[in-house]
This record gives sequence, structure tokens and C-alpha cells, in this order.
Amino acid sequence: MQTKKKHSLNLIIGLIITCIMLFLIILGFFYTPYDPTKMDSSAKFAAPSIKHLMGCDNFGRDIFSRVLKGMGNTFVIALATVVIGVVSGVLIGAVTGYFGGWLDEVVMRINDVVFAFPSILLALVFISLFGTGKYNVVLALGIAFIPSFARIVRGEFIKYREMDYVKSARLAGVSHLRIIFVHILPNTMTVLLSSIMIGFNNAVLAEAGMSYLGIGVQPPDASLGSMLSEAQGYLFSAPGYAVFTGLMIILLVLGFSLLADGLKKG
Amino acid sequence: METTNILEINNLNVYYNKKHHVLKDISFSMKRGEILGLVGESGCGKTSLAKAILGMQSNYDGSISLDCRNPQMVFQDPYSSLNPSKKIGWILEEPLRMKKGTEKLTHAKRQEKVAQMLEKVGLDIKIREHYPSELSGGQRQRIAIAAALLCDTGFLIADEPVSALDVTIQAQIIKLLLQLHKEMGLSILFISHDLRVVYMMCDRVMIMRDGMILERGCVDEIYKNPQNDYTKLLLEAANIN
Repeated sequence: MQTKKKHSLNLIIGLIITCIMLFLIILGFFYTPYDPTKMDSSAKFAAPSIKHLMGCDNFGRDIFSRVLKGMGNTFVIALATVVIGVVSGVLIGAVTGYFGGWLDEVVMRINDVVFAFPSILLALVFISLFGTGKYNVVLALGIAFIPSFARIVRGEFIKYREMDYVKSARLAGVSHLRIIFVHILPNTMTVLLSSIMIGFNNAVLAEAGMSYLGIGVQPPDASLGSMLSEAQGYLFSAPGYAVFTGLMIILLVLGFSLLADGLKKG
Repeated sequence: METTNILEINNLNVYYNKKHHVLKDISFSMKRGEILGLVGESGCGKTSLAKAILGMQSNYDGSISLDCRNPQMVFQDPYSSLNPSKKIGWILEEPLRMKKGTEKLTHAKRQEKVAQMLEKVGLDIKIREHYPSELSGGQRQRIAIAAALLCDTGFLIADEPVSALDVTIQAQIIKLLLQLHKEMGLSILFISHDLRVVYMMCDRVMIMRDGMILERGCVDEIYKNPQNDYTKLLLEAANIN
């Protein structure tokens, strides 16, 4: 009872934070108070005020406008990463989990090899081979995320393929493809959804980390990671720059974490 | 009632992992429209035999000849027999969606057939809007039977269909199966370890142990005059005789 209460509270708080963050992200796509790339030497390191809600950076650019734009970039990259990971992972996990046999053995051992490397390290190798830029970051992180989703979906399929309702469907002449996507996949959604939320958080942090290292989103485009990297040099002269950017990363991740926790069955 | 055989099995041997010999030289036949009981302790090979008949067992030798389209099975556990994420209406329509070509049915026709079948198994039509988790074990087993029958089958394997239900619900499901057998001329291979239930349901019975059929014959004959020691033991344990 107590656990259930905690889960629904997490769900509500997570939903509120995520809705606010999504509102800011969508707002950033259509409107920013200032041009996020426009420099203004007179506003260099300006403190937070009515005119500049979060102050200005070392080039006099409005931090709030850059945060809005940067959150959008980070969100799109994380979303695209998760889409690549989920679509490929679901396909691999569903087929190997449902059919089993030698196909499962071979594919899952390859999966284990990829899974053994930390996703950031794998993405760094990819970037060093194919170059920097947000599209390569998406592809690199997407590929690195496939094994974790494949493993989760495979586990669920192994559980469900032996259930009597699946045997009944086979006896009724339902095709394997239909059993996989219509009969079993919807039942894996609870587990998959919470994994997607966790995966999204990891993607946000991975993107921020890569942009922080200078191999993600390239200037003058803004991303939360690259902004945090810039802010590091002015931690004492303009602490607001690092604090507001870091706060946005925390809130984005916290919102989805609480949502994922709330979605798990108590 | 036709008296031709619907099922004929000759010298059937089933193996697991090429080493474990599960069914040993099983031979028997079953008449069309008959209810044949298969009795034996857990692990004696009853379900393996059912799976072999339904083509769900690949590692076997011997011959299985089943003269029936779409053989179906009603499983022991009513809680895993129905897809938890789908409504009952969808579950019952699914076998009808599989019909191809000239047999293909419109949505309205499918719904009509589902409604007729629900009436046949004694359930309210409103149950279509419910999820399996909202139903009792007995209701679920009725739905499982309805879904099997919607496949236009003439042969049903009931694998301990009442063992997970309480006594009053057991009686209702047995009554339903007998009624459907009478109305539709259904042939039923009734697997159970409950000798009393088999006595109520079946015309003939086979006693199985360690993958072999020890004794077979009419229910009255076997129950009144058992020849095999194991059969005698089973009847004694069930307090019959």
C-alpha cells in the first residue's frame, strides 16, 4: 500500500516536472526572448534581471534563450537516440526471444559484446571514426543503446512465448509475426515504457557529456552539455550560467526518472 | 453419430533432448464424437501426448493421424489462457480474423458469431467489454472453451480444464463440456488426474504411467473391474469401489 502510494506520488511529481520541461522545450522551438547566438558586449556577464531572466554569458548572449534552445537540441538528440535504440532493440529482442534457438544464441552473444562496453566509450569510438556533429552523436548513442533494449524485450518475450494464450493463438492459425507484434508486444509495454524513460535519461546525460567534451553539438548551436562546458570557465565570475544550465539537466532527468519509477507497478 | 476414427496413433515415441524417453510405444484410436479420458499422475506424459497430437512436439517417431481441421486445446490454467492486454471481444474474434478467402468474415459477422458463442457457453454478451483480469477462473475457462470452439473444430483436447477451479465451478464447466459435446458432436480427449471427473465425463478411459498406457476400456468396465495394480491403487486412493 505504502509502495503504491509512493509510486503514484512519483508519477504525479514526475509528470508535473516533465510537463513544465516539455513546455519550455516546445516554447524554445518557436520563441526565445533574444536570438540565442546574438552577442552583445554591453551585456557581458549581466546578472539575472527582468530583462535577462538568467543573466548573460561571456559573449553577452541571453542565457535563458540559450537554455531554451539548448534544451530543445538535447531533447531532440536524446529522443532520436532512444527511437533508434528502442526500434532496433525491440525488433532484435522480439525475434530472438520468440524464436530462440541458434539465432538467439548468435545475436545475443553479439549483443553481450556490445553491451560490455560503456555506451559513452562506444560512442566515442564511433565519433573518432566518423567525426563530430549532432547526427553522428545520435547514431553513435543510438547504436550503443540497442543492446539494453534488446535484452529487456527478449526477456519479456521468453516469458510470454510459453504462456497458454500464445499456444492457443498458434493453434488458431495466427502467424508468428502477428503473435509477436499484436499478441505479445503490447504485454511488454509496462516494462518497456519504464526502460524508455530510463534510456531517455541516459541519453540526455550522454549527450550532455559528449557536448561537454566538445564532440557533440558544435558552436554556435546550443546544447546543455556544451553550455555547461563553456560555463565552467566562468564559474566564479558568472555562477548563474553553470547553475541554471545544470539545473535544467537535473530537472529534465529527474522528471523522467520519477515518471519511470511511477510507471513501474508497485 | 459417425463411428469412424477421428484419431489414430500407432507406436508413438516422444523424446526430450534426444535422451529423455517421455512416451513409450503409445497406440490407441478415438472414435468421432467420443469423449476419451486420459488419466495418470503428474509427469506421466499426458500433456506430452496432447502436444504431440497437436503438432507441438517435433521430436517423435511413430504415426499420428488426426482426421480433423483446426484441433484445439483448453489449458489447465485459466489465468494464462487469455491475453491479459486484450478485451474478451477481441480475444474471441481473433480466430475468426484468421479465416481467409471465401471464409473471410466482416466485423459485423464476427461480432454476431462471438455473441452466439457467448450465449452457448452461458456468458452475458456484455463480457466482451471486459479484460481477463476482471473475470473469475470459471468465466475465463468458459471464454477459453468458446475461443477454441470458434476455430470450427471438431476435436478438443481438454488438459485438466477443471483442476484449477473450485468444486462448484468444476461441475459447471463439466456440464458445459458435456452439453457442447452433445450439441456439436465434439470429440474430446479429456486429460485429468481426477478419476471422479473422468467418470462423469468420459465414454472410455486410458490409464497412463511413466509414458505408457497401462490399461484402457469403457469407464464402467475399468472402474468396476480394474486389471492393473496401478489402476486399482488409483481407484482406491480416490475412494472409488
